[in-house]
Amino acid sequence: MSDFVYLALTLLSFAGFALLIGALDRRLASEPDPTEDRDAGLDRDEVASR
Amino acid sequence: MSATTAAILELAVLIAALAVVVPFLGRYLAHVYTSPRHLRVERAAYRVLRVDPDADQHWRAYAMSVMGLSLVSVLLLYAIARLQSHLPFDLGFPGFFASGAWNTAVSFVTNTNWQWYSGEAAAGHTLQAAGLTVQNFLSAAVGLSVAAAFARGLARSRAGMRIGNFWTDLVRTTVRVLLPIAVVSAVVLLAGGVIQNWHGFQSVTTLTGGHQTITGGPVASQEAIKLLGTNGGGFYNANSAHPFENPNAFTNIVQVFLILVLPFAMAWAFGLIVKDKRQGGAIVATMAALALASVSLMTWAEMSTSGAATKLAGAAMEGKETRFGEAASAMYGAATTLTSTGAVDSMHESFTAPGGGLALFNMMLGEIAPGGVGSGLYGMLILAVITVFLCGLMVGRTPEYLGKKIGQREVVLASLYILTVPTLVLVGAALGVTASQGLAGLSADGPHGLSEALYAVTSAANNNGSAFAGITSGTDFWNTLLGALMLYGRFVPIILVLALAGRFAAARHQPASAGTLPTHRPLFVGLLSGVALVVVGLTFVPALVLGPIVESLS
Repeated sequence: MSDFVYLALTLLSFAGFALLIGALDRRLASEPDPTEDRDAGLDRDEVASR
Repeated sequence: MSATTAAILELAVLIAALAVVVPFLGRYLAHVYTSPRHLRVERAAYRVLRVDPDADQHWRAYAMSVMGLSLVSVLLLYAIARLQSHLPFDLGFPGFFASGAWNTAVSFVTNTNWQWYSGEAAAGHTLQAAGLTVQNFLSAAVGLSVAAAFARGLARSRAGMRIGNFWTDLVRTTVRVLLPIAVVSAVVLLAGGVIQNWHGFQSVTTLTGGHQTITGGPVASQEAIKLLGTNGGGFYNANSAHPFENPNAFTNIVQVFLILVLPFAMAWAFGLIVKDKRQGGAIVATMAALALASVSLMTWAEMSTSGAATKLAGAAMEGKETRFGEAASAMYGAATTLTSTGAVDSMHESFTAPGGGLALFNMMLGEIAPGGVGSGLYGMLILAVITVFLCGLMVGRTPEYLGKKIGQREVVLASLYILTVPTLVLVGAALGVTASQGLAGLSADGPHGLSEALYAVTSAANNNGSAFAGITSGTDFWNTLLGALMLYGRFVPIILVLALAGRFAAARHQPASAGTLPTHRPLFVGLLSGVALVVVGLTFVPALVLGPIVESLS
């Protein structure tokens, strides 16, 4: 196989990594701080400990 | 002295040396990754790189910096390998063919060091020293930097997903950690008999009057970072079984020490970075327990002579060097597969079926005991996140680790991390044993042939780099398949780890409550070890049954 194939494979792979970073960042940015929205999910012991 | 006594003594010396050095080196590493001061030589590097070393990066910028450096590194190393015949000190070797150059470039940039070629018969000094050795430093520095960023993410509170500066971490790791230790290690190896010169081929007359051509080169300098950075790529095809790379029992134990010292020290440093030494101690204890179990089992497997040929010979010495013997070979085999090193002082294909199966299992475990430089720590911390989540489910409490709540997003990221490499391994193995080009590269059929293919893809996807020695991988098919596995097996987990680090850095630190699971006690060490074995190990049981387990029962 030629240099072109491996150059393309390399560039496409790293472009995929960049897309994955972007997608994860968008997901995480849209999610609030995990410690801020937990009150409804606290069990009785945790509520009592506060 | 009996072989068993010698084996126990060797292990005792190794453990004592690690116990003395790891806390000191761990403290030093923690200082390196938390100190606000820059050295003069580091400031010069930042000026060249045009970066502000004090700028705190969002996890996205940190990850993009890792990808940018790695992309440039792959392209540069590919060019050097392809064009080596036009470079000085090429020793008359032609450039690598396209798939071979790509496999080699990806292999060394991902800290794998899988070698389809024989170093002494294909790689000139410029490729070895300016290409491969440079990547040995950089890829190790990337692993340590990512681990430091993850620890920082856990240590910070409401930091807006900022986890440090990649370029600062990279330069500091190289200048303050890898270079000085590698220089000292190279001198120790030189004193032990490892060669270091710029000779090409030399014709010598042997004791029996025959003639032999021997290749010299800068071996000790490459050897030091090969082991310290858990890289594993040898100057010679026989790797550390070659007497110029690893001449005697002293250099052998020094090499095992170098393989293990940084991964354990980084776990120690983790406790100091998160300001709770006990947490680092728990991670070190988990790694040590798994490692000790593996070394003991592999030594037992290689020393218990079973099978007619082995009983006649009195020892399982096929594929092993007589100057090391069974126990030291088993110790090296365990150390190199428990980390992401892949250097070998014996041929793993010649190990007994349980011994070879254990080497395979060590890699399948995700190389977390103690794992590769940096990658071992973040792999173990991901398992810690899964462990607290599972324990939380069992007792009905909101899981948290080091004051950080483990919510849905955190578990999704950790689960994706856990699933990535097994998916690559199993899909890769299926391709290897079904495609005709894949089967053509295997030296055996039946269960042993499956073990060869499984070992190769496991080694590649886990960035280990050791080979079972039977497979002929220098073909377009295997070079491309293994190259892709190395690339995705390295960078997808790194992206997930950095995303999780950002998430932790942004979260508020919660004080421990009565419902918090203590993560520094022996109970947690046991739980974490159990989760590592069950969650990761069971993924591969069907494949292991069809390969080494069937072989050992037949």
